[in-house]
Amino acid sequence: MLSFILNRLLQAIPTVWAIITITFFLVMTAPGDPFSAEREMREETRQQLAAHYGLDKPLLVQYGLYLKNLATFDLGLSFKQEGRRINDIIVESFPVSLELGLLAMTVALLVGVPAGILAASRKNTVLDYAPMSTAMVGICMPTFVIGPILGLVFGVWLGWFNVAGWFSWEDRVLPAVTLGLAYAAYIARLTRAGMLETLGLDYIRTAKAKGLPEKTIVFKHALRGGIMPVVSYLGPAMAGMISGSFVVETVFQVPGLGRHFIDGALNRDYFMILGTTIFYATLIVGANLLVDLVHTALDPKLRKA
Amino acid sequence: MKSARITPSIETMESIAETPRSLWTDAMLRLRKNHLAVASFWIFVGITLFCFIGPLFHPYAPDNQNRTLRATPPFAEILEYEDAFGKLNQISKADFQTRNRDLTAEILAEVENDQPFEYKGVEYSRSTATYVMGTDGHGRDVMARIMQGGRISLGVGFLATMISLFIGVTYGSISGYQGGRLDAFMMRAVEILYSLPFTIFVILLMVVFGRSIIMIFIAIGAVEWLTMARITRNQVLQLKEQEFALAAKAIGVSTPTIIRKHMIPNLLGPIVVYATLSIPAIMILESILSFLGLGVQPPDASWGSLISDGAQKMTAYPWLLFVPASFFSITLFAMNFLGDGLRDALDVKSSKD
Repeated sequence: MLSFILNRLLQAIPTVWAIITITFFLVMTAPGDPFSAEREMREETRQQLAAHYGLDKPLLVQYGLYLKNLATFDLGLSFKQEGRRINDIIVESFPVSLELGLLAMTVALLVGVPAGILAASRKNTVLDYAPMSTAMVGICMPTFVIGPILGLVFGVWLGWFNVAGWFSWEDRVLPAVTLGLAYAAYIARLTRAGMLETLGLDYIRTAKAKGLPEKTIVFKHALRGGIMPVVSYLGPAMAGMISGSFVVETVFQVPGLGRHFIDGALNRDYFMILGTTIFYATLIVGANLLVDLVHTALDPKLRKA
Repeated sequence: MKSARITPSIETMESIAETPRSLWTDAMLRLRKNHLAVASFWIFVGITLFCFIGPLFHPYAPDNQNRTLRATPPFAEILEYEDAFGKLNQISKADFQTRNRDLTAEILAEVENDQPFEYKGVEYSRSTATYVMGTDGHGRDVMARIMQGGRISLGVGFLATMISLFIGVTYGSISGYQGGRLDAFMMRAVEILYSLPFTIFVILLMVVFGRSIIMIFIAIGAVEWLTMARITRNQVLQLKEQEFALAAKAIGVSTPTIIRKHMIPNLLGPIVVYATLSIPAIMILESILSFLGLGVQPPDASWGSLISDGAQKMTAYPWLLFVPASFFSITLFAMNFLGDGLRDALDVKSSKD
């Protein structure tokens, strides 16, 4: 187990390095510079600014410096939010995104898994069709459609929640539900498929033949195998939630990291884009690692391999 | 073919023998039995025709701003009048009534009964114009904007899928066919790109190369080929071990020809299924970009940017959100059901692995 973890960690490092390198050269060799969007400035001013941010050095030197700073977890300064360090911005706004993501994941699992189990154990009945067609709706209505509509119905028309902001627990409901619903739909489909496959296996028939109650069979015997596809989906789901958070944070004005990434992209704030991309990529690689570990822990067949 | 009986007559045997069905005819027959998929196909064709041919029959241009007709709800009744410069203007009945509070009961009755009337020296009459989907905050016809946005959304969906197919199939078949270290290297590269979320990567490309429609095609196509490459590679790995591939190799057919003539035609099933399913995925990606302000730039529109506009004005003008949101969702529904139907018909196993 320990060697497996070490092995995976060693594989993750070149991946993260490759992402850093690709992102760095993509962003740095882009035509135009971050100051070109602003009003005309004198050549000296521009040069001083470039020198301040270290943009006057040759590209490879810049790359070396950037890597050196990264080694001490320093992501540099923001161009647009003057004088602010990217680290501070991430430290301040990421907890908000993380809270949103965790809440959304909770919504997704709490809705998706029971719906999938229900559909699988009552195959080809109303209890199967109803949740599964609702899931199709969830898949076909992307977050930026569901978000504003939920905001309009529950925020404006019914007045239950605020349409924007991030202050009280009520403000968490709409963003978390919006972000969670699409994943709940996928998870419901995955759970159903996984459960159906497991429920068809021999050991389930044995359990049935022994006369065990259905509850025990479904929850104790079948669920452990049937939940596997959902576990492997959690890694991609997390990556998806990050991009989903861009939209949700924009729709509901949540002060999270996603908003900073999008603003950085809109304003060509290079170090901001670089910093957040690297942060996200590391996060995702880490999440995938974690999912692999959970997978191995849950599935004895994988442990020996 | 399930028509075999216990004692088939010679005629039926002959008729079976005469018309050997190809994989595709078989698939089409199966698809035709799936009513949901067939309905989805026609809905999709209808929406496509509406967006691409509709403008020929539609009287309003998407960029024409009707200043007296801002934010008019769908099917609003319209009055028309000539202003001091002799220009024919339109105003909705509701707007006319709220703007002019001093209307006499007589005029109000005439407004209600669609009769021409005079107010402050201007002649008003009931216009035959209808704005089926209303107008937006700039007085532009929403239906024309939907057509324009649909052309971009659907166009991006198609072209970016084509680009990703081209790159993915080429890359995947080379990697799978050559195998060995080249394969290991090429797939490692795909894995690295995979660990970067698609949306972030596309946004990066948009930042680097500027925000134009062409860039959206290229950026999305450049990201979406990864899955296609994986699918193709896995299929080619199996195919190249089969006898016909070995035979082709044995008689000295060159590698590019084997890939083009023997590998790719056998891949068509999974490719078609995956392409159908990736069109909606790409349309969502494009719309997310446009929604965030990184995609299509005004005055151009896509369904994503229209939804974004609508979301900002939904409190006062909900139809600006609901109309594009419905078009977008219905199209996604249709494409997903069609893709699922095709997958069942062609009997392709899980297309995303």
